[in-house]
Amino acid sequence: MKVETKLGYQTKVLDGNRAAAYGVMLCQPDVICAYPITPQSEILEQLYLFQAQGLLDAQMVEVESEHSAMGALRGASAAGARTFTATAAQGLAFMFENCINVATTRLPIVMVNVCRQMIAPHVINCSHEDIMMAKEMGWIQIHSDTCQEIVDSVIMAYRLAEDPEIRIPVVVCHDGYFLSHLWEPVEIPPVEKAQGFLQPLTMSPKIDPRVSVTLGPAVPGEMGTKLRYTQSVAIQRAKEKFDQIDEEFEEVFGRSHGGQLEEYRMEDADLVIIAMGSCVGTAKVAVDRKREEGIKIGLIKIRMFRPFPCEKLASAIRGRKGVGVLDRSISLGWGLGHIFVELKAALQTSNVDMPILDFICGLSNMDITIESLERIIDMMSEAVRGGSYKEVTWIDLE
Amino acid sequence: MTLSNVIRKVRDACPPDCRVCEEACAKKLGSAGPVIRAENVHKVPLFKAITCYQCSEPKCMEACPPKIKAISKDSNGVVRIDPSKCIKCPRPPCAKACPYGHMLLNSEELRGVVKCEMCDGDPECVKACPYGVLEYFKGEGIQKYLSDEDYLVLGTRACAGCPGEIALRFTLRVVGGKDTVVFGCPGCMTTLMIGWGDRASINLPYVNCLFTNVPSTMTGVSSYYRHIGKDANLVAFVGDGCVADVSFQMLSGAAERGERIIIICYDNEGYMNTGIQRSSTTPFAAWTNTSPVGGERQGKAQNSKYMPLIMASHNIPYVATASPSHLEDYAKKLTKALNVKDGMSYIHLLAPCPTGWRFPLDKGVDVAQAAVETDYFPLWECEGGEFRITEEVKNPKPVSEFTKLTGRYSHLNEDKLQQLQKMVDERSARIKALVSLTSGSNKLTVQKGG
Repeated sequence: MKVETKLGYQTKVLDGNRAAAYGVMLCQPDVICAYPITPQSEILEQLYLFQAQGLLDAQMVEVESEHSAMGALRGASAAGARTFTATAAQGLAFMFENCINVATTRLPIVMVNVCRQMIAPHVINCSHEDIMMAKEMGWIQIHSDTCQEIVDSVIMAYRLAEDPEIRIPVVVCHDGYFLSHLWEPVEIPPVEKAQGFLQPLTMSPKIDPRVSVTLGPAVPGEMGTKLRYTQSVAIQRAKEKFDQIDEEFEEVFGRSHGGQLEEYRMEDADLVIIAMGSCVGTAKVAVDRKREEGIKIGLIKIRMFRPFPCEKLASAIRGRKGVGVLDRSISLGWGLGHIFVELKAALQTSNVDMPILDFICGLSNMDITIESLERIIDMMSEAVRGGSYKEVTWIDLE
Repeated sequence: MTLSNVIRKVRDACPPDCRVCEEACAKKLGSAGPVIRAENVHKVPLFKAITCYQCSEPKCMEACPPKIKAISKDSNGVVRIDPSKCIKCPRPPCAKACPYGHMLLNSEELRGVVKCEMCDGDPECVKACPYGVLEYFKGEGIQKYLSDEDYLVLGTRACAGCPGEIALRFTLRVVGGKDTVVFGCPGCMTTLMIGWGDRASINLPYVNCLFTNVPSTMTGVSSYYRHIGKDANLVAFVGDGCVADVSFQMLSGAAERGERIIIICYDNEGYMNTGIQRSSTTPFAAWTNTSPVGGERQGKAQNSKYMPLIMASHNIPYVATASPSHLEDYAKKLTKALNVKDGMSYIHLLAPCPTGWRFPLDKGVDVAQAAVETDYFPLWECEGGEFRITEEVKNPKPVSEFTKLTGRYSHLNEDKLQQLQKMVDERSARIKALVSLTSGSNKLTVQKGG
């Protein structure tokens, strides 16, 4: 890191995109390659501004597409650089094969994805469709629901990705428009403090002009299988590692976001809402309101979606009476939301026998309102009382 | 490893009964010789050595008994018999050992041998030939570009006779070991570099890429090295499928940004690795499995995209075409590319494909030579915005002299041939016009890296 700054703690009012850019600046990557796409563009613009202000000393490469952005990071990261990119929806889809390639090459790249629906129809606004489409690319996936959390998650993402026991790229997600363009007060720690939280990249680079090795050879079947196995084991390690990092973050910066999950008013909850992303803030308000009516309801915020936090979710749900899942995506072919499908799979081996309801909401930039959340909670209550209920409800169409 | 000097045939122009070369040799050597036979010269293919190959590890030298040791290689690499030591065996073991039959029995004494010793660097046969058939070729011209090491390990595999492989080995000898990182992607030549399991095929740093991310991966490495002030040569050896089609966008983007990388495209004019399918560099009317011949389909309907000129239009510091039939020209171009520090170099190398173009395995270099001599594949460069022809072809042969060598064109009728000739003429004229336009002070402004 060549930037020297005398800036101490600052409190700034930032939107989600600018918060992400601050998080990146604090981590001082060497190479940044990104292609602008709505609603991500401000991240890139803010990073260029930091460079112009002398706060960021990175090679900014204006690649001609997202596919090349991730390709360039592949080369830079393999050569030993700390790297960054950001994208959304169509851009994520375009770079998809490179995303898989860098994950299976075990490169510690960090990317921000601003969650957006896929086209067609021509909706360029919020849903989780893009990141759900990309959930199998082998990356660790983290979701934020406040601008502060975005800054903190970027720092934690580098720490996690670069851990020698992990070495898997991390995508830090925040919802398009609802968080990317929402202004909130954010505390920015000093650069030195963030740098101290990260560890220097200690692995030898995979590309070195003086070392005759082949990167990415062909392999026989058993070796290829073994590599997938070790990759699978490594990404599972990220769960515990992420919890540890969150605890350490709290010690250093005074803030925790919960690790894999955050539990809200869950101590004595009978009903549980499971949510992810920007709707969590609204959901907490709905939970508070229903609590005032005497309903024992709590909320689990999923922060780490990949690897899927099976154990913690199962443990948090055990002994409750009913669950409602807020899904900002639809798994075409299941007729159910992605979180719901994965949750059900996670609970298969647990003795969980209670109504679990899926609510498809907030697609195509629809607001997830307090009013619809209250309706959701009423349906959950009805189900728990023994009334009839549907497995899946498209709340915005009812 | 030293490239020998040899006497070789460079034109197919021997009149049927001509014996001028043989007579000149006989005159020089007297009744012991001659060592060159006119009938050999007449029938041997182009570029074959006619007389002794002056082998780097001469079998004749090994065969001469240790107590005699009459055969040695002199400082010019010429294999010589010391007449003061040679005992003139009646059944000479040296003659028996030569795999090429170039050790001849002394026809006067009927014992001992006579061989070509290059007339002390000024061969009589070459001087005597009135048709320019013979050339005294000096290996030194190319030798100076090459490292001794062949960077591919034993056991790598390409189709028998593949000129791409010849070109790859040659390329690595020129660029290897100079803080060079080699990049490749799926294609024919990858099979020679990709490695297997924990074993590398290439004794250089090699980055295997996706079909689509060679220029971008190189961009990332180059950007990071710029950031930390590291100097390295980044060289890709990739096919036309990558460069002209699947990675065209990525290549164009890297060129426009002025990335300091070297892209060598070996153009076998099709997707050959996947079984001979048409690419955008497959020429007009050529057969491939996806531009078949039969009924209304008569080979490829479109003419090829002319990649070297497209890359030159990006105004990058160095663009060139090259052929495995002109290795010295190629070596010079590679050296120029290595010396470009502020932007991209692009070399477009013709790689005739025996499997995909359908020609005999030993004819690869001949086909490449014909491509150059018919102006189908002119050899030029654009250096610092100035175009120039590097191998002048004064009277280009008709393109049929090229198409007739390959089975992929065996269906060509007169009409299609004329269309192809027109395309060849237009392309050649365009290059010549650019040469006139950009000479000296008129050279174009070069796009440099940021």
